[in-house]
Amino acid sequence: MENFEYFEPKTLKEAVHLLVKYKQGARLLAGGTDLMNEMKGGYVKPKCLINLKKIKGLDKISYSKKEGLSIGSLVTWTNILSSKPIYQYFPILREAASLIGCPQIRNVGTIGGNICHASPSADSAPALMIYEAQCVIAGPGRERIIPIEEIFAGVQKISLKKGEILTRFRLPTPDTGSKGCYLKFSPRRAMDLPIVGVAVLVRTSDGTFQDVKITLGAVAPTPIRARRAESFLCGKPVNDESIRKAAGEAVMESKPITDVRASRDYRLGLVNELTYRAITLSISKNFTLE
Amino acid sequence: MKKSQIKIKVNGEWHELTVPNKKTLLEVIREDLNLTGTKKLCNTGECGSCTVLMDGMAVNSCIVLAVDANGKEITTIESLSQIGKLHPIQEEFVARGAIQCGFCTPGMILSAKALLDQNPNPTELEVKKAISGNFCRCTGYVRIVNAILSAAERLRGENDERI
Amino acid sequence: MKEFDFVGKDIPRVDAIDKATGNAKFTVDLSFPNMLHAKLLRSPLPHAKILNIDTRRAEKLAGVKAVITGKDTPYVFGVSHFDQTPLQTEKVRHVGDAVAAVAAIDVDIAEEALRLIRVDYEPLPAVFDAVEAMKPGAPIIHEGKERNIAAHASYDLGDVEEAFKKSDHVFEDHFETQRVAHVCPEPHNCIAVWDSSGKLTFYYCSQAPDLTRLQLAKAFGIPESKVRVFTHNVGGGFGSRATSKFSMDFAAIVLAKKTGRPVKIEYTRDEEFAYSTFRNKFIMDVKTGVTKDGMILGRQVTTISDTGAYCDYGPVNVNVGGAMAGTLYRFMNYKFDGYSVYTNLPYGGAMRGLGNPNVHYAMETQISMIADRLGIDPLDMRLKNAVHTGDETASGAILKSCGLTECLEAVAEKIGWREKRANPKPNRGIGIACGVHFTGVRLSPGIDADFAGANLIVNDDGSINLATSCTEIGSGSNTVYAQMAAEVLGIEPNKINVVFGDTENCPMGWGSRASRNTAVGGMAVKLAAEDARKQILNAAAEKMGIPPDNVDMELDIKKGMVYAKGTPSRGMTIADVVKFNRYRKDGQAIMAKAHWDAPSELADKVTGRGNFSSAFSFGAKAIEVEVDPGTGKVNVLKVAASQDVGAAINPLGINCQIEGAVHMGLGYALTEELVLDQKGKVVNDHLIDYKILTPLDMPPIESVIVESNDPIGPFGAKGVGEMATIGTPEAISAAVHDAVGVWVTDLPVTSEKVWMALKKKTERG
Repeated sequence: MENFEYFEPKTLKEAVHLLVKYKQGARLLAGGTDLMNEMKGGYVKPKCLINLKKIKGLDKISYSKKEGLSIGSLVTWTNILSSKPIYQYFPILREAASLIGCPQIRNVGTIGGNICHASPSADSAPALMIYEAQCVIAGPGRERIIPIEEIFAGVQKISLKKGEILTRFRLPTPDTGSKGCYLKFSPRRAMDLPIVGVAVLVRTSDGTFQDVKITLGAVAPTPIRARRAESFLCGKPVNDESIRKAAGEAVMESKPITDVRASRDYRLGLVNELTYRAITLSISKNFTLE
Repeated sequence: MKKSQIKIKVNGEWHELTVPNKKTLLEVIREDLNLTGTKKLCNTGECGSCTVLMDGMAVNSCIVLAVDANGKEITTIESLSQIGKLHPIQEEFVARGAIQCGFCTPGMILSAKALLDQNPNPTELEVKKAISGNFCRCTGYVRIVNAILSAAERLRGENDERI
Repeated sequence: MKEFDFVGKDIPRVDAIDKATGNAKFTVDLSFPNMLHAKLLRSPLPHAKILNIDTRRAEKLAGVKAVITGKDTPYVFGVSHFDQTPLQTEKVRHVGDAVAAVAAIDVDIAEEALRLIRVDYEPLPAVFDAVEAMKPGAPIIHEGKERNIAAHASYDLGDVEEAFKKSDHVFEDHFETQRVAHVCPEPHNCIAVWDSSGKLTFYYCSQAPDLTRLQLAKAFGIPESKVRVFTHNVGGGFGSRATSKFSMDFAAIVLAKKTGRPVKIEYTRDEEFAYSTFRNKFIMDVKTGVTKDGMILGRQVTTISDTGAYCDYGPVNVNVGGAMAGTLYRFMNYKFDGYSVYTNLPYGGAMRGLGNPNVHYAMETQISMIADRLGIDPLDMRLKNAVHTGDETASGAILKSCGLTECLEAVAEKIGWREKRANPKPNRGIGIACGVHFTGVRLSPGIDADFAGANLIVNDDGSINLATSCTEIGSGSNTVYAQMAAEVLGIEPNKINVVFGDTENCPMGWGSRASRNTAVGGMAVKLAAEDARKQILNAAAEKMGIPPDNVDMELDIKKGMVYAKGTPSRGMTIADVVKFNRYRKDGQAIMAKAHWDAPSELADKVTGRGNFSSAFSFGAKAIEVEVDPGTGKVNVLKVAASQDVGAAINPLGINCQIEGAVHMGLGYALTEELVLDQKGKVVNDHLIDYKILTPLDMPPIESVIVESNDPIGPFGAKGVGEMATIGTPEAISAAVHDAVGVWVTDLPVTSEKVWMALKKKTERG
């Protein structure tokens, strides 16, 4: 690993200033679980590291019914797991967090760091997308807010501009009656990225699907909403046939690759199966996520 | 400036060091402080052998920068026992066959400590989750889980039986 | 086994406290004043001529103390075939083949220096598949090795063709096993230190320090007395450290000589995955002739093993696999042809069981397939063909003790075999498999010896210093030796200080390999303890005025006290005996030594037949799975594992070994595989993508110890560690078929393969 200059700015303004000053040579340090390995492997050779953890306010979680949830980008997975509002109102996010890595990773890994690493397989992304999270971004100019889908620009690429820092996520409170889950398929029960990850949030009424959201991870260069499957299922009767067909639509929208973890065909098969299961599970009468 | 001055409290003792910014907490522990109980197995945060407690939380010290540990309290395996007296977790590991080659043991014990400090009455599943980031090639984990559950009982005062 | 005071008891490991406190030192923890750090420069190409190496820029880098290339390391080494040199001069044969090494004041400078070494390569055509490598026109990797065949092992016993003619059915099936890594927790590392007298001390995480010493002395052409190997605690071996056979070792030694300073080399984890050897990939065709009621009449096995760019243990693995395939059941007609084939890939080597787990996978999965085809219970078919005590097998093994039947019955009972077969549940299945492995081995061709040594000194306070030729690699051998010596000497095990790993102060032996620690190493300990006991009793008799001929009749030792059997209150402590014996005119110390060569024989050079081990361990596994047909995921619900260990010196230790071996076996069965790309490079050389099962993936394991009381082994004991690895993958393949009706016969049985097989089955209708 090459050496670098190191800064611990106390304010966002300071951090932005350093980012602008060092341009491509600067990297932001959150939990470091991804960044440290990138540096050790020589994939990334920053001239300076800007540690965000001394800036107040970036690690806060707050909730109100009206405003929804605000999660600072430096909130760790461990803190997400112990948050009451997330437990109560955003159980899919909690579920995804519980499946990430292991305790050592969850203790230091952050939600912002995970999203900005922009792995197509990141567990957090389908969950944040299903809740239609918005990213709040500070930078040299005005603060801007973008839907989470727009932050992903490709495999391990994000759309932040020069000097910008993701500061928090805003998640509106889901509609009453919405139920969902996150299904992750991986060879092991810890330490693995998903081969395929599916998050689903649905609301039904009078035997029909009223509102359907489906997000897929690890099947495209970025996490995606399966919008065709969603619009197919919306308004359809709640039965096995509709759900099977919707799963088929989700398969059509997926563009997975073959890599050391799985083949393309298998991933498509898993999209089909997991989408079907996720929806079926979510609508089952006594289903709640723990 | 590619060096920084840091102050870290390791096993109850403050250390002032000047370190290259890129130096990891693991390297400081093993090289600067000569505490070789904490092991380097993968050096990429994927195995848990370098687990230490940082302000009470289990972390992989190989992916924590020493500068990022500035001002923090670090617990390594060496602090758990006193001369002639083991911590109950260590005693149970010894008694219940949870140690074979021993390379993963320090990290495993500290993950167990982190769990039991937070949750004195864990289920078997919670124990397995707590050590899910600690890799062992020798034991198959069976005895390790048993040892942690026994240690939990002892620490709760429910079982004073020494094996 | 009869009741003993210490043998047969669950005594905690004697080294566990040091390991629990972090005090236990491993070679990788060591550091010396003035020490340099070295790194190896490795080829990026799989097959290429080396046209030129220019190290000048590297030499000039501040902090670099020496740079060496192949011309500095003109040494040849190997295991059965001496086809390796530490740093290549003419050509490289795999991605990662070492061409230069740098010693510098720290690792970062050494790495930077590597980047300054310029190597001009001329790429050559490369081949990455053993079958392709054997075809005419394939690139030749070692001159003189036609068709890239490094070695051929064969067994031709009885008359296999005749047996097939007599069979009601002859089944031919194809199997493949993958490359799996040892993943030793302690990375390969060594420190070389030369002193001013020209003596080398080599600190190394060795399983066999004496073998390391012999190999280094031979390779460097220096007397053995000028080489001392020092091994501390070893963070896992599993066969990868059975010999000293890496570029790293030689580079450190040469750099240390050149600089006059200690030199340490430590593998990174990705180097450890790719370049510390791994289990060879085997392709196997098994042809078995059976009667309609499942009696095996003959078997023919053909194996092609990809040994990679160099042989290392490759040919030995094939040879062992071949021998063991003729040892498990009662048929006497057996033919084996096994080829070790060079490819331009990083090379494999010895891994827990050598080639035996690979070949067992093929043989035992086929037995399950045959049972299914014949409509016979797979357990009954195995029981019908099982070997028994007293049998002489096709391979020439003489089974002086055999608990195979008991092992099969034990796991069948634990898994609920009969009941579950009678009441199958959808998507649930059970599979069973058994196996055999040796306890120490005479490998042919090779040295006609398989020995261990023990030296024992009784101290003034009645404690013992016991030096063994075996190494504690985590399997618990030191504890077992303390128990054995304690039992013979009548003292507590905690009074015995077991010393190992220093070739200067420990007796010579073949170290910790081939599951020989308990039985071969242990016998040396027992013999030394018995000798010491005799000396103690004789000295006590002298002091107590008992005639020498009556010693055994009248005296005994218990709890450190030598006492007269008739009057237990009359006696003296061992400490007093020692002091009495030593502190007088013409006094003597109480010291003993033993050298034990296990009674086995080299195989016949022509037929390959022979009783190549003094004892054979047997075992069985029964596994229940639930398969998720929608994803192909195999969930292991329970593993029952039994092992005939002859006699359980430390039942706790044996169960621990079995559990660890089941974990390794499940990884071999389900998730572990070293994957290489189209350019011959290991792709998943990191723990995220080399999938070792986590605690959350482990099923309940029930282990059963079977004791067949071997007449040779100390207290009746046989080997443990490798046999325990056998049986899991074959039981998994069988269980998956039982659950969902598909056979996956190439490891690992991943969820994707099961899913694909189910999809094909559905499409076939």
